[in-house]
Amino acid sequence: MDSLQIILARTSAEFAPGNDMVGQLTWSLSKVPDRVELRLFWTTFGVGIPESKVVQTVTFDRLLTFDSRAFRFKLPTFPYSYRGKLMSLSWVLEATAFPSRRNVRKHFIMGPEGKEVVLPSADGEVFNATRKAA
Amino acid sequence: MKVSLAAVQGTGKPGTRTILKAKPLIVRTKPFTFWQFVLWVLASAGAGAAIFLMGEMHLINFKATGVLQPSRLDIGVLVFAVGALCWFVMRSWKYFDPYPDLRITPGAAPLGSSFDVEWIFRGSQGRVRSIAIALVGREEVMAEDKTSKRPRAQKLTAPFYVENSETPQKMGEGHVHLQVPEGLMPTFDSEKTRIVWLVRFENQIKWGARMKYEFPVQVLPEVAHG
Repeated sequence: MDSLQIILARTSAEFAPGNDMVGQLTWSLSKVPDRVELRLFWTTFGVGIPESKVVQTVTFDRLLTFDSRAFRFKLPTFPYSYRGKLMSLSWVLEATAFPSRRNVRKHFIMGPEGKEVVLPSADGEVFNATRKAA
Repeated sequence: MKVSLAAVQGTGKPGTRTILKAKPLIVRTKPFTFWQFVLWVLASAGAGAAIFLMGEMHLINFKATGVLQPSRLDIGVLVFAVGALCWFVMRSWKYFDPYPDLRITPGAAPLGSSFDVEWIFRGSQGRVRSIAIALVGREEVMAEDKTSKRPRAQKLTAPFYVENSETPQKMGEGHVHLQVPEGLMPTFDSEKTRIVWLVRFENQIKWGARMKYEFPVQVLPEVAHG
């Protein structure tokens, strides 16, 4: 059975801005992949339209069906992981094998002291600025 | 009345190291110039003259014939001229409203620091009845409007931080400190999701509408200690 696995060097999935993220990417596939891509990106989710931005990509080639590669990413300083009333932002490490496109994701937190920022709820309801402007 | 004004100067990107050197934001809120005022006065005079000429023409007719018979065109022109006169007079009047000029220092500040907001009203300071200043942090997202038949994007906002400053003693001019809290999100600007920080300035003037201005400010990540 095909499998891809991201193993981080540390057990915690909480990182401070600018930290190094070190780990191992291992896979066991029925066919030799052309390449395996490891992408570091942030993504948003919530009531709004989701969006993502890839920050770094590493491509591994000359691979075997069963293989393991080490990786190291220098995390950026921003944006932080946060949870808000409308949207939240999460950091993701995603490995994809081509051409099968089998993939695996690992979500992690990046914020001050390794903590997610939780936005409080201030006075004032959710406001539809589009309707007001119209 | 709510007015959103972009800051006079750009405020840099999060993580900028030169935060303490960020230049102050200077914002002038007067929405029109002296020459626009002159234009409105002339337009008011033109509308007034049109009303006067029409009135005089019909008065002469009335004296001669004893009958007042304005055509539909005359009535239409008169209604339009009266409406235009009222509008131009109101615009001209607003020129004399007091408008605040603001200076926000520094132009970009990290979480945990503060903004210094100085203001001075240009015009008749005696007409300023009340002012209120607040630092506001809010989420702004683009979302799909699922209630309408045609899917279209709509902008939703939700405040997560509102801190009103103490009420100033002097209203015509003065300054306040606005503390930026720690542990929240700095300014974040992507295509569909934004975290915005702004200085909200509201004032009520005698014989005028309530004015509400929002000045976007740049809040940067906390400065690492040690």
